Amino acid sequence: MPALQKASISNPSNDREHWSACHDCDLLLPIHDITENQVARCPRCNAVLYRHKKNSINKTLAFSLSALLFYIPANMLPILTLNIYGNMGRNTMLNGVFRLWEQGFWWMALLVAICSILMPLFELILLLTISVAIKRQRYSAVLPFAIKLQHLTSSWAMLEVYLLGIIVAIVKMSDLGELVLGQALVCYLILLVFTLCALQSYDRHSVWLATEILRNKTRNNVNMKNKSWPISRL
Amino acid sequence: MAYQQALSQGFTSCDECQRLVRVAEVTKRQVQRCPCCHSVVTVRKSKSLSRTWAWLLTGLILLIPANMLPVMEVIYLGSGSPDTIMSGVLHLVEAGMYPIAFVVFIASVFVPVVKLVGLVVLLVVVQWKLPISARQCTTLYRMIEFIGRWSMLDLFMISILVTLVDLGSIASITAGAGATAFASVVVATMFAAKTFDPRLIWDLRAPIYEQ
Repeated sequence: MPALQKASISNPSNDREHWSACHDCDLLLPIHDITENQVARCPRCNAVLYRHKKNSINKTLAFSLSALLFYIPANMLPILTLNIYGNMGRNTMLNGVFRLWEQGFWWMALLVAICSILMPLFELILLLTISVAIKRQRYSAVLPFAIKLQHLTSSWAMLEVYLLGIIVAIVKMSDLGELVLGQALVCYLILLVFTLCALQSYDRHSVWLATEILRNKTRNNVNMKNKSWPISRL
Repeated sequence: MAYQQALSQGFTSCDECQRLVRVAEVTKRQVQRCPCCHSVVTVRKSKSLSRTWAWLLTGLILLIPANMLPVMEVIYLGSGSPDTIMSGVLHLVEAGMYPIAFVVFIASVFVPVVKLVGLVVLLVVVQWKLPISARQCTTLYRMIEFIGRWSMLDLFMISILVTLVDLGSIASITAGAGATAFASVVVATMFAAKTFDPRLIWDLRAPIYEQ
């Protein structure tokens, strides 16, 4: 295996650029350049290592911004309204949480609030922050922090599961009374689709690469200024 | 083709940014940080096995009250009819709503059990070094990670139903104690899946692995 021998012989500082390890099985792999819409997979465990996404940052920016526009109506307006003999029961994403809290189920209320309201919002804001920062080519300490936080929120934002909850609720309650689908359902669906599109076009791997390049650029600029300072005093 | 673990060459990948990092010797009080993203680099997820066992046992214990206690109570004219997870599914079957009954059954009964059993299998394979296909174990792990979130379906459904049926003293729906236990099961199993490190399965093989 000449390729692997190269890994053990060559300079460790160079290795980082040309080699990677599979995150699922720790297989040592050379990094290949991939072209548009190609996916690099681990030959041993089939994990997706990285994929080339066209226009990743632009798409993430556009989709997360559009999703944020629909966030407030989707949460505030009634998604479903149930009319039983003139008695109206309204469901918005927010009052479901408050109702559970009132009934004393604070742990459930908290979990529903986190997974269906807070985390989707944080995720969108973070995606927007990250893509704006990279688009403007500005490095700040917030950027790495935002990328790490986004990674954390992604496993707790469960908008798509909420959709299944709505569908089951519709089927269960349809013969109890007159069920009206509210405007917020449309807003919610648009929010869901745009969020999924934003996530689909977001590429954590290339965002980290861009961040490192930006940081090095900023550092070099600072160093240049520091170096020129004593010269200008002479 | 010979496969080689990165660890056997003294490298590991950063969990956060997947950058290859040369493993440095650190004392107990030091940590190694990734040069790219500055997050703490550990060769494998720290204390992966014991943490996964802990979350797993928590989930297993909580699964009992989650299935025995009512998750939801329909109060009609002052008298309540409590529903457990399973009886809710059976009501749907009786009403002839088979597809929805199937979805609810998968999400709230099947998925938690499969997750817990699957993780026990993975932990046993790693701890007892059983000669089972590492590729299949990794597929199992990926499946467990993917299906976990769909168990939240029941909780979201309850949060919608409590607001929809609101006729004061005539009829209303309240959540039950079982729902709290079920919520905890979902959280515990999600953490269990997160703390497990699939690379441990592949470390069982010799550092150089012939295919």
